[in-house]
Amino acid sequence: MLRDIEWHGRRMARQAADSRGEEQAMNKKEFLEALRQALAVLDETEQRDIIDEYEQHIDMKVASGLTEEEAIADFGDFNEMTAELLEAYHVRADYAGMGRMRENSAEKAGNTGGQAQKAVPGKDGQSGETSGSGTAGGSTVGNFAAGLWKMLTGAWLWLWGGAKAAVRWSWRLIKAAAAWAWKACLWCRRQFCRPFIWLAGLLGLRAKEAKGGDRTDSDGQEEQAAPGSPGDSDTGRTFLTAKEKGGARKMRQGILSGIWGGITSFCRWCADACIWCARMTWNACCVAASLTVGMMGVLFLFTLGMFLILVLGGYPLVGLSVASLGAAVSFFAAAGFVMTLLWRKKRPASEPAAARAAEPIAAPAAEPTAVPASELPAEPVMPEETEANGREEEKDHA
Amino acid sequence: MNAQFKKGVLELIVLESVRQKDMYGYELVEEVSKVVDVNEGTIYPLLKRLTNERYFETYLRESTEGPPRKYYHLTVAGILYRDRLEAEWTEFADRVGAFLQERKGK
Repeated sequence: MLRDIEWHGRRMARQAADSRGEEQAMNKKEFLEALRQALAVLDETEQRDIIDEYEQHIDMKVASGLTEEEAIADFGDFNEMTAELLEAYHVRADYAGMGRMRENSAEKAGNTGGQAQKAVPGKDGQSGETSGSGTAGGSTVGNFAAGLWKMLTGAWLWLWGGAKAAVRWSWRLIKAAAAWAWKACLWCRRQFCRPFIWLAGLLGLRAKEAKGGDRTDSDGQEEQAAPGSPGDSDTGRTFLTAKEKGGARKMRQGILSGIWGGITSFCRWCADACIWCARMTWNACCVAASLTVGMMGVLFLFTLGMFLILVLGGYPLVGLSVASLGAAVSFFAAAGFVMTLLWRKKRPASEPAAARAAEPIAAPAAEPTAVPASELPAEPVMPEETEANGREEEKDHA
Repeated sequence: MNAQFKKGVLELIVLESVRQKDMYGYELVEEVSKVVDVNEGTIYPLLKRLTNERYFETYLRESTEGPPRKYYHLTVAGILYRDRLEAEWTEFADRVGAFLQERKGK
């Protein structure tokens, strides 16, 4: 603040000296400070660039034997120089400063008998306006225009900063929204699949329990089904001992096992069919959406080609071409994204490839639910058979 | 020389000087001062304007005598612009010369 007041004081003193027709010599520090103030409307980097260049020039002049004041005097009129610098950026110099320069020039021209008019440099380096000198109305208009100019410049800088901040925040918002949408899609898919997977798991578990109950019955050992156990609920709460084995029991067991096996097979088939239908429905929707979006991409690709031909023909359609390219890429990306949502069958990763290869051979032998209990072998189940049954159960689960 | 004459040809002189070899500001001011006597303060705004209009591009090069210097290099657009200015200047000088000769003959 104090520095500004000091600088303005010096500036007013210089104006007074100018009005008396005197040239007040500035040293390097004052000159660079005045230059910085005059170019304050420019970007900080540009200011630094210009000031560095002038500073270097002065240093070289001083190195060649001139004083700082002489080197600065060689630059000519300070106001004209700053006005030309600002004009290089299509910025009009401060109107008050230009008004003062205009008055000085007019005064000089009046002294030499010339016409008392001077053009203020406009945006394109052409004469912006001309006015007479020494009029009180001109000073008032000048002050108003200077205030207006400062206000417009401030507003422009504010708008520019706001636009940059808006772009930055928009980008962050878009990224957050994309991440949220991706999570939402995954969640929807999981919720859609959940009932079917639950149903499949439930039916698979029941089938496993039923098979386990049948197998223990056929071992010929004394066994009692505990209340509340799966075998208890499935076989109608029967107590089985080795002494009660007989033809009637075997027949009943066989019939019950056959019925239960048929029911579980049917239920599993129904569950599989439901899951298959759900998967097909979901996948069909995904493929349809992907195809639709992909077709839009192809359409924009076609539009891009058409625009490129027109651009080569000289039409100003570069912007539209770039927009079409962007749209095509976006639609293709969207199609790819939709395809990632396809519901695929999961395969157990831990199962060795050899076991999977041998599975079709072992599968027919491991179908106990379709065989009545009476036909099962009396001897204990061999470990190999148990393993085969286990693999079959795992397969059913999958 | 008349200040308006100087102002008109200053661009051409600056462009031609940089076309020969890349120069930094002070060097360019000295080069131009050999041809026309101008305020040094007018050269830098001109350089800045030509740079902003993409006729020049700048780069920094280390110097043994101080801080790095900013060198000006003429772009392709600058070369074309310089050729155009030269053609205009030649035509203008020819016409004015012919007019003056014609008047002298009378």
